[in-house]
Amino acid sequence: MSDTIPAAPAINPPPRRRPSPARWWKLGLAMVLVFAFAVSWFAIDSARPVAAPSQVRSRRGRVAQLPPPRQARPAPSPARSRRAERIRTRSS
Amino acid sequence: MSAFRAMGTDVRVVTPGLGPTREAAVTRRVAAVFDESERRFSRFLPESELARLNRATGPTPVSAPMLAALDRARAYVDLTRGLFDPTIGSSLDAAGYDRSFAPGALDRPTRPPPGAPAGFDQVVVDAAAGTVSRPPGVRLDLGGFIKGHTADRAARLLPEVAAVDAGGDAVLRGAGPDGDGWLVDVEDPADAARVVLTLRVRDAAVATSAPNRRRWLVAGAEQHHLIDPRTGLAGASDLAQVTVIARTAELADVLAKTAFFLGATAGRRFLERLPAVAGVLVRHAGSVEVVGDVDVVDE
Repeated sequence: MSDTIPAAPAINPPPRRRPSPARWWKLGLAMVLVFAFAVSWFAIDSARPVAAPSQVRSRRGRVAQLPPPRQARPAPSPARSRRAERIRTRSS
Repeated sequence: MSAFRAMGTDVRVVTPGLGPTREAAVTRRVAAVFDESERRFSRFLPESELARLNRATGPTPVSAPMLAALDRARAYVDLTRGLFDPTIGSSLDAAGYDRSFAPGALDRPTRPPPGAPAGFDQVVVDAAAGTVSRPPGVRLDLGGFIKGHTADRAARLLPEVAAVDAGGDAVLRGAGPDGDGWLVDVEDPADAARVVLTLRVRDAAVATSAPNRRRWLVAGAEQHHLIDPRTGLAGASDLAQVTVIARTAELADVLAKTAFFLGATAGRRFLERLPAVAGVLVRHAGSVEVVGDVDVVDE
């Protein structure tokens, strides 16, 4: 018997398929479209005017003052849900 | 909660401790008080005592409730230095408010003739003889003042914890349904669907004055019902709305109108000088100022 380990039989790797020129074109076109969409979205969002929370600009350009925003109300307790027992004061 | 219609507004009666049957019985008694008051003090019902007084010439016999109302009115004229004055009736007619208000009902293409200049010092009340004299053309209007007084009277018929709410002029008895005070939402005059803040009130009355609801068109120009006695014209103010909390709805109504005509700075000082009075001033710009000692709910 021989002590030498027989060499493993050589495995031939499968031949690499090179992308065809048509696949390169499709991949490139998809990347260009995604990039163009991202750029246009960012541009539109940056151009949108930002108003202060208490101000709204009317179509005529005047700034209208709104009442100060109210804090969100917590979920009503059973007592407070009895809206019929609340009083609403207003001019009449 | 029960409701009925009187004095051109919806009146609600809230009695948390009563069942439906007893609440309905209480509401009928409250409605009777409003009905009796309207038949006596209405400017628009032709056979009311006030309408007959406004048509009369010379010393005119009047009822004890009318004498008492005019006596209280004179005290308020003095308190407000004439910014409350029942002789604005002629000016209201001249502004086109000569019938019960409804949206569009007061619109007209031409302006009515101007009212005669008037002041309450021209009205002579002879308590001993039980008569009232006024110059021709001077007509009395007791509108919101009497509505508040009627709510005060009606509230005496209610249980210890109950409320009567006459279109925003309300008398609140006791500590409310949950014992912590009645929750009173102050409506936003710029948007009736919103509330500028909520108060917690016990054993007191509230009233609100603003020109935002009773508006109409005369010869294409907008009018409203808050007549400034100093000019006889619809009053202008840097305030969009005033709410007053006081001992009675009658007092709260008078003070709310007065503070409105005074404007934000003088109106605040005026309310601060009065004992047991608080207020909420809303400017046209939307800012809200709380005057005096009142519990604002943090919601």
